[in-house]
Amino acid sequence: MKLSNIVELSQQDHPPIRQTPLWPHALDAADRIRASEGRVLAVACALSVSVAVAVAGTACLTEPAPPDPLESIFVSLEGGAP
Amino acid sequence: MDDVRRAQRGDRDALGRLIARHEDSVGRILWRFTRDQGEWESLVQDTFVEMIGSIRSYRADSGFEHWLARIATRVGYRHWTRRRRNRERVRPLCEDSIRALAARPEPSDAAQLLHELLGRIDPPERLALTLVYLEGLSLEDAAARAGWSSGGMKMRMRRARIRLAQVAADCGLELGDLP
Repeated sequence: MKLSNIVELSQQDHPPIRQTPLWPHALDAADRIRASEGRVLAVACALSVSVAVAVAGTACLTEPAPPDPLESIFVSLEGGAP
Repeated sequence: MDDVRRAQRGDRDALGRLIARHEDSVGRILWRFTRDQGEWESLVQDTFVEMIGSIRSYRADSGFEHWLARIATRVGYRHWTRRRRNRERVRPLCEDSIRALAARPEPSDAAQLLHELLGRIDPPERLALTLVYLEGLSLEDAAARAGWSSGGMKMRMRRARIRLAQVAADCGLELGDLP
């Protein structure tokens, strides 16, 4: 048997016949995907907001405090460097 | 207004009619990419889900059926490359199938055998062979369907013929008068 005969014969093959229409399933699947994409987007937004808040908070905590004028007075009274 | 335009504006009924109208042609294309009915149904569904997701970007410069056929081909091709990545082994060929086919030439058995033979070929070359030999497309049309340049298609087809001859020889098959 030659491959060309197999190719020719297989061109007459056809897919199985579906018993139920596909379109309701395809529409439902597309709706589900859209809904889940919406949820992912909402979670991503919430995450990015909380990350931004956390970064801002950390920046506030790590920022050096302004020098306390009283502290330098105490240091001079105790004999340390002013 | 036709169903494509209605569907682009979010009309669900129009989308449903479009799917019902093109279900058979999309099914025929994807039957070349798998012989498993469950996989086939999910590939057909994936195609329509992609169609729904991108229908707003469809421009009427190419026919709707051609546009949809490109999506179906992309979905089928992705299925092949995923299987390749998963390192799933194609079922080993046997001379028995060829002997059985010679004794009782049934289109479905021939298609099954060809599917297994082509499963030994890398997805790009396999797609070129599928579009040209099984879908009967010209090289130009096959390139458009696959989203490749015409030169790229010719190059892949050249490689594909060499690879197919090797695969056929492994199974003791002659190529015959394949172009």
